[in-house]
Amino acid sequence: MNAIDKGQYVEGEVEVLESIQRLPIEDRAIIERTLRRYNAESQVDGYRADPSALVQFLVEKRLLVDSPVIFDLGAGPGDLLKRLSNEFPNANCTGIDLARGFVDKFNQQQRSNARMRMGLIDSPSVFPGDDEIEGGVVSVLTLDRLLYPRQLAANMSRFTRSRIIATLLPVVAEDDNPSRQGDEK
Amino acid sequence: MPENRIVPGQNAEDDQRVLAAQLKEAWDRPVDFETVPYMVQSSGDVQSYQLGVFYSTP
Repeated sequence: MNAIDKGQYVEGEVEVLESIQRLPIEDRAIIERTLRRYNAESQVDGYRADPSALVQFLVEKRLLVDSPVIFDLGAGPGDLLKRLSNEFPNANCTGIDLARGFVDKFNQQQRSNARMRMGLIDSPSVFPGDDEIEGGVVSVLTLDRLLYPRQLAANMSRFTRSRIIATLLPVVAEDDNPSRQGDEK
Repeated sequence: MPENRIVPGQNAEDDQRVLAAQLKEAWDRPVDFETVPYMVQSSGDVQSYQLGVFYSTP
């Protein structure tokens, strides 16, 4: 990775690629395959989620009402983040995702909205350091996709306000379920 | 990789219990649980799921 021309990458992409290079070889193969698939998915609009019931639940429970910032870890195309931004107009809303396609598309759509942004998972300015983050955090349908789900729980512990994980149960890990890995081997 | 798993992944009841305990320890807070419906549209098909929602407040 020493020869990377950083000019051709968006913020965080070099960090993502360097992180992948440091993984054990089997883990690296899994996450490289996953990254390619997510980037391909982000180029089409075939997948849409309707988080209405989840948003209603969060509003009724007042879980994010006092959060100056709301993070969505694994935000995908940003459907949930847009809904949360409408429900909590005083909060800055930040998404994190692994797929540059989702990040670029979301930021382009929201370029006139200073409260909304998305960054790659290792972007230093988006998810910096080890300090506490004064805000709330959600992560939806990510536990089964992550190579290191415990790291998600640890990252969420940095947020001082509400922490919310939503998942299918049982949590069937994606790399245990070949039908969800696409055609690429 | 099995060694990285946060829950056994065999049935919903066990995973709910184990995940709640894992999050309670990681977050050092009580963790509550509810289910909510979630709709996904993919290639014209609409599918409905029940999401398990684990949440904690300060």
